[in-house]
Amino acid sequence: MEINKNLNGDALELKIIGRLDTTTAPALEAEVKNSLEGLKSIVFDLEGLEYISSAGLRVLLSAQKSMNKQGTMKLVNVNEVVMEVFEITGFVDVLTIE
Amino acid sequence: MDISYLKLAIAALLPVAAAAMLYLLDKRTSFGSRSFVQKQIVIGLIFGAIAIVGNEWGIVINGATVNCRDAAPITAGLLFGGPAGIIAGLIGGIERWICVAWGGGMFTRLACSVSTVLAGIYAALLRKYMFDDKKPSWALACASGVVMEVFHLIMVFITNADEADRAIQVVVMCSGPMITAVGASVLLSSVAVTFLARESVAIKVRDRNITREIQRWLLVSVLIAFALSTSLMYVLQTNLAKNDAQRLMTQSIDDMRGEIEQAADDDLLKICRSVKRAVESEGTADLSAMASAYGITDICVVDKKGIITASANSKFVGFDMDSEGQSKEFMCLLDGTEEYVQKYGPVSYDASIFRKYAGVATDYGFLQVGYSTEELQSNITSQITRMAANRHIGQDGVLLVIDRDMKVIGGKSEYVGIEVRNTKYLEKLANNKTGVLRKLDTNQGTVYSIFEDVEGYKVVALMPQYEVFKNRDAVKYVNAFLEVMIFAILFGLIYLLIKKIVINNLKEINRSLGEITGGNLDVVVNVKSVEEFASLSDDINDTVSTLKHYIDEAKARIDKELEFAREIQHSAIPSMFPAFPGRNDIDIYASMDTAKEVGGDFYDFYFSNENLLNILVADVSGKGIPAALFMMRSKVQLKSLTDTSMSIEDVFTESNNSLCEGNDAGMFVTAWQGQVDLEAGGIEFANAGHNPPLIRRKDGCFEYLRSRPGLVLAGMEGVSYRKQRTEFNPGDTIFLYTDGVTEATNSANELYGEERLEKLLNSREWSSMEEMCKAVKEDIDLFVGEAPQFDDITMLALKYNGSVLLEIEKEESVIEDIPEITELVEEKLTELGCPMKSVFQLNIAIDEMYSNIAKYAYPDSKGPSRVTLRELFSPHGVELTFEDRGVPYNPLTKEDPDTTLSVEERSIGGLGIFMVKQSVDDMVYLYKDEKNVLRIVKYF
Repeated sequence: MEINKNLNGDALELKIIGRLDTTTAPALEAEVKNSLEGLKSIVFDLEGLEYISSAGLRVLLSAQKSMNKQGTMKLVNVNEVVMEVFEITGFVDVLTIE
Repeated sequence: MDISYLKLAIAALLPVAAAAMLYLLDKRTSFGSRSFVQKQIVIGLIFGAIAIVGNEWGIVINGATVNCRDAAPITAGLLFGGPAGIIAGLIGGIERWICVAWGGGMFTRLACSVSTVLAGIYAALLRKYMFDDKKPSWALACASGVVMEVFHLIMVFITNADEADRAIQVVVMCSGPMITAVGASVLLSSVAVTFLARESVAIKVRDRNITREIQRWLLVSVLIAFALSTSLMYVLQTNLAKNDAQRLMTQSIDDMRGEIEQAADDDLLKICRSVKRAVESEGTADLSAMASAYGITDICVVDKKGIITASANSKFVGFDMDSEGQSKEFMCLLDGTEEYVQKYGPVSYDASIFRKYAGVATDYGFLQVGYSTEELQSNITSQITRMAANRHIGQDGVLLVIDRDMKVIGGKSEYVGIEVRNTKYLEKLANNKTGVLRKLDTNQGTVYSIFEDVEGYKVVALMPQYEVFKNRDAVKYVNAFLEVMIFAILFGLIYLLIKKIVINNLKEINRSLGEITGGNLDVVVNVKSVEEFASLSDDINDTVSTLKHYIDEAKARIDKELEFAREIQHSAIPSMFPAFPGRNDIDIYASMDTAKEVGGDFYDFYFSNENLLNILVADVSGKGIPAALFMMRSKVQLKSLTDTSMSIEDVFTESNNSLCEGNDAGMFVTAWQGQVDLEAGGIEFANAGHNPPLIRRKDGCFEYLRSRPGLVLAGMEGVSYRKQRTEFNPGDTIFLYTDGVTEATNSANELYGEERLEKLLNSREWSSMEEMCKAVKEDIDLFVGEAPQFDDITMLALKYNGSVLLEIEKEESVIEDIPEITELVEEKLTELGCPMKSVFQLNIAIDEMYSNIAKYAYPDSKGPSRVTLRELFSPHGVELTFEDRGVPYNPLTKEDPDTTLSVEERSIGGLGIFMVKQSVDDMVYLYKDEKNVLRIVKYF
């Protein structure tokens, strides 16, 4: 997995390329955790995400929980495979997907 | 013989000819296909015409007709049917009534007309109620005719009661020929039809039944009673008749005697008075001359002392009248009696001399005169002839007076003047004792006679025998006829009573018993009309209910034991499916539906080693317990030999030899066993007389795998079997079965057949072997319908899904293994042309499942795991298997997360498994051999 980070003031955009699974999720989690402070907006660009496992969902969920307290979070460019996962798991109702 | 008797005989034969002709018409021509009503009318009309001929050709005697008219309606009614008989009877009866107009007998008109009508009805009733609407045996038919004629003759008595004498004459005359003619006519008709029907004329003894037996004894007892009463009555009536006749004749004789004696007395007294006057005027000087002058023998003058003082016969003078019995009687004249006449009899002084004496009292004593027979008879014979003229006794009896010259001088005119010596019977009679009844044969028939001597005459009474015994004979006929009628009525009545009370009840009981023996033990015998049958019914019901109880008990016990046997048998064959949960390279399913609780079929499958799967289907001869026992033996035998890694043909050869030992019951078993090499593909098999299996290649159709089978197992010792081989590659399917499948039979006795089986298997793609086997069973059930299952239905289906694509084993499972595994799997999947989306979904699955094993399977350490990837065919896909030896844990039991909660409430637990579940086609967990096994199937 590859994470392209683009911090613009208090707005963070994370471009995730590859697979977000048990082995790669900790890296993303660490990245989010480090950038979280003072952040008003976070955008996940999932265009390059091949698939996401529950470990990845956990990271997104905890990010959402944190952002609910301090700003906004949204997911953009969600592909079909990943979208299906969100739908199955009910994450579409929880996350903001554009 | 009189021509009229010939006509009577011909008339009696007409019904025979008609019966034979009509029978043939009915059986051989289109007449037989006419309706019942039409046939009855035609037959009735024909026999009615015959009845008319029978009447017209009868012999008229004394106002009655000797005929065989009744034979026609009786024959029609008994042999052809009631309506025909009634029609014939009506025609005959009406014609008899009106035939008086052209010379028919008037006297028996009513009796004959009614009897003929009744004959038809009688025959109809007999046929319906006594003979069950079938023609009777000739004996019964003949008896029926005879009884009818007897009734006919009784009718003559009844309708002519006021002219009983004539009626008796008619009956005596007619009964013989009429009964014979009608009896013979009906008998011959019946024999003719019986003969034409090619039935035996002989009456079978084994046809005895209760009714016949009772009727037989009734006949015997009635005959004995009849003989006894008739002979007793006959003797009594004979004696009574003789006594009556004697009394009647004696009375007539006595009347005659009185008249003769009176005439003689008067004659002699008249002479005596004349002689008295002559003696008074002429004196006693020449008494002998005086006697001659008066035509007498004696004149005696007797004084007051009773001494003869003068006599025509001088030697009588001085005779004391008081000294002898005969002369003493005259002493009464001395005591004041004026006149006294003595009967003709022997005189006192010479018993050989017969004289008749008379006396009159005189002043000097009395005067006695006497004359001899000649003198008497010459005086009074003409008077007696006059008196006796045409005297008769009863109706035809005569009274004759015979004089001393043995000449008939009085009585019926044609007898007068007959010299007795010229008439043998009278001579015989004349030499007989007086006052004794004698039977004499005369030229005018037998007569009874009696005679008395009166004043030298013989007074003879003669009565013809028939008149003497007229009453006796009438009673004899009436008695005989009534006996016949009584017997006939009893005969019929007993038949009907026995039928009602015994036969019908017996039939009812037999019907119920039939049902009971047919297996319906719930039938209740309910014949309560007669006490004995009620008791029998109760006994039968009790017996059946006891029996039922025992049967139920025994059945329950047997059922229970059979149920055990069934459990044992079924537990002996692998029946848990999926059979090899860890292995998705094969799909195997088998089923056995036994016709009875236990069966003789069996199947088996097991691995000899990891890649060698044995499949077997076998069928033991016979069914039930014996087959089941032999089946167990065969199964164990085959399995234990297979387990020794023996080659399949040797397994069969050895098993055969073993099974032949101690096979006293002569059972055998057909078997097909194959060894499937799951690594290299291919099946090595041996066939012992079993049905060919069906095999389907990956992209082909099911076809019969025909090979030359060996002999059945246990058939003959020392037989050897051959090993055969067929290819069996990934995607191939094989279907084994027993003949219970192909030989399943429907109610029309058609077989299910190989063709239908092949067609069904090829009818569609099967997602699993279970589905396929069940579809076969369903199709068989559909085909068989209501018909019972005769044979065990057994089948085994195996699909070879294919080999392992990838197997990754780790000694210590860690999360870090995941990228490697996913990479390897992905590589294989790409090779198979798996869609990218499925690849990702499978990757997620690996990530979720493997991370579970790494994190949770071994709580305190790291443990081994294995991930296997197999390719699946039809439908094409893959199977991923995760195995670990960690804590038993079934992820599928984890509750699905609530996917509707808000962000704050959501946790991530359980989401992974849920995701995998949602994205793959099948997911199975099992714990086997201390391993957690999770199978995931994904079709492309």
